[in-house]
Amino acid sequence: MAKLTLAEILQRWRADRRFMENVRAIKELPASPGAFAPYPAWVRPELRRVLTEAGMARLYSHQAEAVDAVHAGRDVVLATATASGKTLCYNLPVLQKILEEPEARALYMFPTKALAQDQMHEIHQLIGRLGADIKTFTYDGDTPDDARQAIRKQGHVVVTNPDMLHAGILPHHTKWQKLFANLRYVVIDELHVYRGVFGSHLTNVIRRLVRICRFYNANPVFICCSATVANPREHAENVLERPVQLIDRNGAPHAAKTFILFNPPIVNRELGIRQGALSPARRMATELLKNHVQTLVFATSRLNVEVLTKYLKDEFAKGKPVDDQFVAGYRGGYLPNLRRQIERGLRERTVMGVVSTNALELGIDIGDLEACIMAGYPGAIASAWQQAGRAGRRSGHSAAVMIARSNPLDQFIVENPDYFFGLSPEHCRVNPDNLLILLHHLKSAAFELPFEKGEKFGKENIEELLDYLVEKGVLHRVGDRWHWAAESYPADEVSLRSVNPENVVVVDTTVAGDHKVIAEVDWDSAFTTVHDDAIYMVESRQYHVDQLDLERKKAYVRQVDVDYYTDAMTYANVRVIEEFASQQKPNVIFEHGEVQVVRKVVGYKKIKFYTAENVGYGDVNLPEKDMHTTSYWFTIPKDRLESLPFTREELIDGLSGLAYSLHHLAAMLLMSDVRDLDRCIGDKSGAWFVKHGRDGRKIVGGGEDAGDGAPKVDAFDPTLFLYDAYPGGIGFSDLLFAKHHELVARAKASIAACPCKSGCPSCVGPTLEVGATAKEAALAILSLIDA
Amino acid sequence: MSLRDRLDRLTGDAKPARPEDDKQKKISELRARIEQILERRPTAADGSDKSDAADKSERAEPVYTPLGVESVAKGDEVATPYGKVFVATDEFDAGLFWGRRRLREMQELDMAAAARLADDPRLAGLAPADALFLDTETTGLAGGTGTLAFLIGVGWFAGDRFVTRLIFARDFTEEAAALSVLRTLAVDRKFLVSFNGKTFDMALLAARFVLNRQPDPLGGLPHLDLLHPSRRLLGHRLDNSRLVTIEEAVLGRRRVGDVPGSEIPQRYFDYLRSRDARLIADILDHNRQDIVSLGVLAVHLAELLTRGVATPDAEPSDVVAAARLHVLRGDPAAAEKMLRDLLAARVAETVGEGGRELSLLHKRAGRWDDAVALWRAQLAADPFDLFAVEEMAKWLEHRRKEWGEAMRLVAGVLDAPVFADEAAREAFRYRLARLQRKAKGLREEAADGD
Repeated sequence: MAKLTLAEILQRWRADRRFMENVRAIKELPASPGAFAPYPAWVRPELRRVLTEAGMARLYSHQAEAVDAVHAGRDVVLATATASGKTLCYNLPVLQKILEEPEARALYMFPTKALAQDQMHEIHQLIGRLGADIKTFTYDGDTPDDARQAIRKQGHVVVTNPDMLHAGILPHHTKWQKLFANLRYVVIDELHVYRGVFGSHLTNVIRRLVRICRFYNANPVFICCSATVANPREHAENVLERPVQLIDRNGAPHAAKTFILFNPPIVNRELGIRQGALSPARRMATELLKNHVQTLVFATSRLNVEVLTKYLKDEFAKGKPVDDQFVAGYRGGYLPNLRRQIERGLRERTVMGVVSTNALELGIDIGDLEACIMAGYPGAIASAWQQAGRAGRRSGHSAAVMIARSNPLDQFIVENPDYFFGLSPEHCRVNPDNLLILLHHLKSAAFELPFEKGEKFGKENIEELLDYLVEKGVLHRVGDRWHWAAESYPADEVSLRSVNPENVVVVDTTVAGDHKVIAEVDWDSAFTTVHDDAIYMVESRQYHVDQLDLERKKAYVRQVDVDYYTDAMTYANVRVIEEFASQQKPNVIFEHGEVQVVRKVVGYKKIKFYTAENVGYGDVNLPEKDMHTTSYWFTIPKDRLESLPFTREELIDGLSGLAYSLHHLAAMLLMSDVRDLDRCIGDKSGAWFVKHGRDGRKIVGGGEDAGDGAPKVDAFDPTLFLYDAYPGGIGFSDLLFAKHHELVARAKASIAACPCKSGCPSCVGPTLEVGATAKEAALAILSLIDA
Repeated sequence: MSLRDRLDRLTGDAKPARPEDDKQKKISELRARIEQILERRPTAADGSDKSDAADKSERAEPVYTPLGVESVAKGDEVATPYGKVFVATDEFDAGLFWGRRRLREMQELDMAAAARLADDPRLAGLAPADALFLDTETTGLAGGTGTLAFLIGVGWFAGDRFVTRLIFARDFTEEAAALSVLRTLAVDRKFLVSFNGKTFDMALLAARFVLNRQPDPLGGLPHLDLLHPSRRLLGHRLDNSRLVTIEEAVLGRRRVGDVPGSEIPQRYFDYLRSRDARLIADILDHNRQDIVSLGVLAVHLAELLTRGVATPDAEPSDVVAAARLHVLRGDPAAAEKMLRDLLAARVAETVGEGGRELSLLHKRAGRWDDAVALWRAQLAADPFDLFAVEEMAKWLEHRRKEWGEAMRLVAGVLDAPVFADEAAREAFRYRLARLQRKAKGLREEAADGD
């Protein structure tokens, strides 16, 4: 059969009536010719020659703007789309400076090693063509010991990542004297990635970096590159804690793109259930791949990546023998070699289809993909555009398809295409003065250089914190200085990316005597992905977890071939520790403050491939995880609640449905990722809470398990919590408190307007989980509290 | 809610009843630790220990008076452009014994041997009096910028005395002065001697110089780090490579009540908080002993290289190790002489390893007669010496083509219970089979030619 081009396939789809029934929008994003500018006069002739030879006879307008600002000594943040030539905006001034002053140094920071390697390649090319003696090196955990000394002394450009800067470079800054004393530029790429907890850590690492630069009398210029977010300048200024110039008018030309928003059909009208996003993703990807259109599919969870990869590999394994790498899975837990292999395969077009988590959102060069399918809204507008932007980086026509899942957020987006296409992307928020985070970095900073009275570190009064650390025995104060006075190495105590720095290593024990490490899982995810008896998948190969050894941080697995996968069930229980603010209304009290959250994995579901049937349950016995964070919540006095015409059980269902809806809408209101928040219904004392388990909803607690008899509604005033999903809190709860009325109003409007009969995943949640009256009850409760 | 309370809750620490109680608790804990340490110390040879007397007489409620360092060590406050620092001074007469050696032997350190130990030819042209012996005590092993060298101990030979200076920073504020004193003392020194200094002490001091914005005078000096040569020459018979262990094994000097290295950082932190120098008195002692030991150990190791078996307290295996070091440094002649002397000196024990080593040197140099003589001697002493059997067989097979003789030799040991594992025995079987094939071939040839 002759192969169709992408344009032809799109034409076919448009002509297919059944397909078009589910399409909510087709937007043609036009190509753009671009805006250009000449090289500034100060650019050295050899640089200009080399760049012209590489195909850049002129600069894009934003590149010219950027390099001029940087040359003049201003800190900048570039917020233009992907593939707009941001790299040149820093390579040009850096190379220029080193050519002028051979002792000058630059530090490049990338969030991942893969990206670092990619950029290294690019600057190496330039230097090679220049024929100059400029040395660039990556300095990260993989750098061999004997190379490290040479890099410290001779490297003009040192390429690293925040973790290495934090634990490997800053605490040893005396060894890096040459670098710091001559540091002219610090480049921070993918700045938008540094939000939430990670961003708060990075802000502190920058504080320490600036502090150390000051010690060596250096005052480097910061060059930041960010994806398109709502507040790039504000974000950069929050991270760098200094004024930053914004450059966001993109002068790069780009190819035309067809953007399709697709909503899978409803398959069960009674229950309001839609077809999952994986099926249409599979069908579309299959058609594209059959016609050799290189396609990237983004899935919203690692589990979905594995499942979809398996489906596609199965599809292409039938019939003619095709390379196993024709379709590949990709995610962060894969070992680096495997990831490099897949990236290369994409560039060389031996890998034609990839199913990935958002790990492939970032700027790793994977060549010229033509199509991108998003199986599910990625949870943030900025992510959606990043993912769509992966198709058609260089030229030609490209296509992006976003397929909605059943949750309220996806449904809202897909049913309101104007909103999506017109919406500004998310805000990036950081909270670098989160006490826990600040404390860790204060310790690291004190290790690096003693603190002096009157010194500033962020916005807090650090003297009190320093004295606290003296009391704890890690600092010693003498005169006006606080010195590090402990044997330990503070940088090792904290990882920048999660609460727990430990990773669990997955060991394949299938072949006796030849155990291999096949993947790594971060501590938090380990509980839900490699618990005992879980089915763990890598590149869609299945492994049964025989044992999760938490103490040794190893998961022992054995390769198996089964027809199901597993999905863990967790519950959370919240207890109020302190209220920061409170507002009383006739039927509700809403507050925000500090809470303790206990999370536990209780079991798992076994789900059959292809049919998605639930074919069984299993128990899991893992310890609880305890976290302190901030939360917004509201409480409804029980007598008010009981005045509604519903049974106690139905009320609980209504609250659960309401929580579901509010969670998703809050994420949209905050313009944050839906995973940044979590929800729980219970009692402020944490004595009881609602648990969604294998037997449906249960009320647990109050001293005994009340699941079998009547729920103890009269023992409590029900409270609905929406809490920050990070220890120490990230600042969402006071925002939600401030927007309480708006949140309630939106929930009311969206649930009331939902076309379903009694509840569905798009408003209050699947009725099988929340009960048949959830929608009605939720609306009644909303009316009550809105009074 | 106070900052402190929030922090305690977030970090999961228990909240103390009252802040004053907590402080009181900490002081009591500190005091208890100090008492514990003091009880462990041996009583001084010259009579009563001041602190013991105080304890004994005031059982009821001891009044706590911290002692300054000048009360526990002989020395002075030294003024520098960076402020003051305490320096403990000591002198040792050259005739004193340190273990089984006299300190004056340091004055005769063989510099050519030292150069060989350090693998640095620059040392050969210097004199023993140019040495600066150095050892530091620090607040941790992490290195990096947060570790302080609170005690920098140095020693050198001045005329007929061995002199030590222990530069002790009584607080962080004295570090700049301490480094300044070190620079002054290092002024006319031409090389360093340390134990693990190349990796640890130098790197740490380099960092401290940068942090205090002072120039580092030590970085470019030739450096004899005794850790590595100690491991090479003595590692085969010692449990570990700690200076104290080596001191006891080869210098015959045993320490009593030496403070364990792992306790040193915490002692210093406790001293900082309590200002009681009794906590660090034995650290000074320990450091001083380390410095002198450095000197004596250097002498011993150099002597192993120059005098081999004639070195007092040397074991044959030490001599073989010394010979190997000579070979490593490209001087097989020196190695040969050493091994020959070894064999000559103690016949029975040394046809073993020393003989083996020497025979290989002979073989490599083509001196077959000498090699074979040694192998024969080994076989005479032990017919099942597999090393000798194999070497002889190889020589017989390839150089003499006497397959019959070789076969008899190899066959003779095949069934003996001297093989470590089947693989080893298999190797010998294989050799025998090859010899048999060759022998048969020859017989057939002979038959043909008949």
